[in-house]
Amino acid sequence: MLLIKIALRNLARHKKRTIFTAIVIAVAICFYVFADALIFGMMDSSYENITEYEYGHIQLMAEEYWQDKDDLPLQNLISLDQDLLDQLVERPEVTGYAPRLDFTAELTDGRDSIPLVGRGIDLEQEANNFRINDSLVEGSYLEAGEPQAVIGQNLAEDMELNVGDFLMLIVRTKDESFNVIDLTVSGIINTPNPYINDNVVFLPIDLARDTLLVDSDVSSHISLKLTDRELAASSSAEISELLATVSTEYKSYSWEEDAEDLIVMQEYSDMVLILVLGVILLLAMAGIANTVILSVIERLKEIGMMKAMGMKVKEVTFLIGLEAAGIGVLGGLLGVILGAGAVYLLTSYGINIYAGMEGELDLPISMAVIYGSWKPGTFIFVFIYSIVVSFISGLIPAYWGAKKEPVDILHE
Amino acid sequence: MRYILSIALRNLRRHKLRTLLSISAIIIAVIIGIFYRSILIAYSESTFENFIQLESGHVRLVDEEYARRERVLSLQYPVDGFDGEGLQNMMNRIEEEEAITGMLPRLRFPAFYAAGDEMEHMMGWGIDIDREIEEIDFGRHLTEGRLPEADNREIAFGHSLLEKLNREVGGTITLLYNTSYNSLQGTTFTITGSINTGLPYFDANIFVTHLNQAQQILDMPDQATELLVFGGNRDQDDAIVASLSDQFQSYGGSDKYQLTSWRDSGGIVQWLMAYQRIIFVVMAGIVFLASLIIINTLMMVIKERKKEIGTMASLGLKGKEIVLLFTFEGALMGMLGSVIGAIIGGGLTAYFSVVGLDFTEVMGSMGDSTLIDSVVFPTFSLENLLVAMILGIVVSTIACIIPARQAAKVKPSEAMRDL
Repeated sequence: MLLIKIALRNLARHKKRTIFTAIVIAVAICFYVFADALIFGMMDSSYENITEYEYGHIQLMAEEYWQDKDDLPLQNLISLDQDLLDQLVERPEVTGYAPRLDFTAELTDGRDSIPLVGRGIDLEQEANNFRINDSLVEGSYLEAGEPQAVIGQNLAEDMELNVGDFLMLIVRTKDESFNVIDLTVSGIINTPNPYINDNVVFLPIDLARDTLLVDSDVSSHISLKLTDRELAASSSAEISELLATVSTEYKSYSWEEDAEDLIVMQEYSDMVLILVLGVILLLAMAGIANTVILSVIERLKEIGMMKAMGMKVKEVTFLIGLEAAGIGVLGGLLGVILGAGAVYLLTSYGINIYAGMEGELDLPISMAVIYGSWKPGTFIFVFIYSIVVSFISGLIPAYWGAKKEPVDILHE
Repeated sequence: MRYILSIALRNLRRHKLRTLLSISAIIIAVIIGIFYRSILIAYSESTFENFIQLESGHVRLVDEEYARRERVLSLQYPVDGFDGEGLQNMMNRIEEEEAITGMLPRLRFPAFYAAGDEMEHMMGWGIDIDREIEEIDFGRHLTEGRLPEADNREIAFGHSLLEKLNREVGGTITLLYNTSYNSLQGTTFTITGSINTGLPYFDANIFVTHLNQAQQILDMPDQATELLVFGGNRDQDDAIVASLSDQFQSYGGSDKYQLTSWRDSGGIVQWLMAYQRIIFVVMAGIVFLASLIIINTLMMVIKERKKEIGTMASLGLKGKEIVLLFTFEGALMGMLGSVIGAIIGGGLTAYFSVVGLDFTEVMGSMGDSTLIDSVVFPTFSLENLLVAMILGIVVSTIACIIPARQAAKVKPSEAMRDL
């Protein structure tokens, strides 16, 4: 306690110096919490895009289908009986399911054509559990038994399609011949997921099954919706076990397994952030070491005196180290306050980092305004980290000062 | 002036360890700035080059309607002369312009391959092989076989696409496509070559055939979907646009065609340009943070030497000169740090510009649509070293003026009182 008091008093002796050194730490922290909130916000909305519009939280499909799912084959489809589905929905974390039949198609309007993905959906389950129905900007949702399609807004603009227009999907059927699905556009949707807006045509699953000549109860995958994204991995593992009791080929896959691109991107961003934080903290460390040396040089006589009065080298080192840690606390506090302010602005007003940028990236990241998300853990981590770093970078120069012989110093 | 400089130099040597420690932060900041910027420049340069060669030329000429719905790759809005007189005529006329050194007509069209119950979609490029070789050395991307010839049903595939289709060079493949009259056609091609550009976007999606072959199968004689125009270098874009606009004046077509400089044609190019400016500001910020440490040292030095300052002042040194003395001391530290940083940073970039930094692991999972090479060779350039060094010196010198001004406030009488 006494040591802390002395350290505090010593810091107050050179207020300007202490503050300058602390500023470097504060900037590092402020930058880190802000960037972290930004990336977290961006990733959060991307994950939302995936789970709400593309895969759901968990997909049930045949293991062999999973292996070449990118080609959207019509082989190795999944069919579960209603009892099992009911059993799944009764699980506490599962809120609903939706079977889908995906296939590659060529959309043509008679003049131009465009490759895309056709997605047969169960009208009721899809509307209850996913957000396609809520995203309509024009027209209406599909009607049972009608040859209708719901398409994304970008696709509609590119192909100049309006509600009520006809479109043709050229498809390859299961018996390896061509077929055509004639559809009327019943609705146009605008989702935050660019992939859905650009590339997908939704149509009733029965119509898709009939035209593609697959069995009337099969799907490419069955999407499950959960109460919480975080539960997907553990829930998926349990459901896989359950599926193993009815079939050897069906497996359960969590959304994380399908969103590898994004997960890798997040890891990459996190790595870059840590690197930048490291660089600025490296500067801060040099600053702290410098400050400690300056104050040691200034106070050699005091140190000699303290040692002469019986303080051990260890204690003196610790005392000076505490001073360095004090700079860390100050910088940390300053940084956390500034950072919290910045994150507050980010969560309330958002930031449009894509301003002036045309075109899109090939990832389910919405190119809209990004809002940050609060992550208390980051604040705590970075605060403690800055104190530890400060303390450590003060130790070597502290030891250098503390081991000087009192006799030599007092002699001068 | 000179003697002030020599006093500052002598003062720096008084505490070598302290001086070295004070400048360590500047050294680190300059090294990081140089290294990061060298990667960014390399990355931007290769992206710009790839973009120019494969997407935009220096200036790209397309039909306005085509550009509006680019993704559709519509064949209804071709480049077919200023006034419908044909592509060849148009190119002959443009060729006479001095600012223009080359042109690449391309006919891009969607095609697909049906295997079993699946359809594999891809994009065909009808290209004028001779011109492509001459202008952008297209042949260097060929890893196997040869490029397709005119009047032959021959194609060369991006290597990943070829692999995915399970075919080999020398084999044949039947592709389906829509002609400009929108009839679905199939043609069996001989695969003459495999192409590896290093760009996943190209290698996984695209096959090339000779322009005249594409024109034949699509029923588009003397037409292309786009014309990439090249000048002496990429900064000629404005001159190219100007001379093409002149041509429009004389021969018509100004309301039909759209001219786009490579600078304005893609998100990634604009983004990288903005990013380069931002990084410059960030570098200045980091150097300023590093300068705070020098400021600290200077403040201490000034306190330490109060008596000296008092002596100097009473011997007749003016306040301005005292400020100058300490500014020099700080600036010298900044300079020393910046030079050392530039030397180390230069060494690092020189080393990695030969060895290369491999980002394959990170880029590999970024999808097939990026126009980015996965191995980056940082650009070693004196310009980069100079920029970082000058930035370091300027920022630290300015920062040092703040504490140096305090030195002039020392009153000789007070400073000498303790004596």
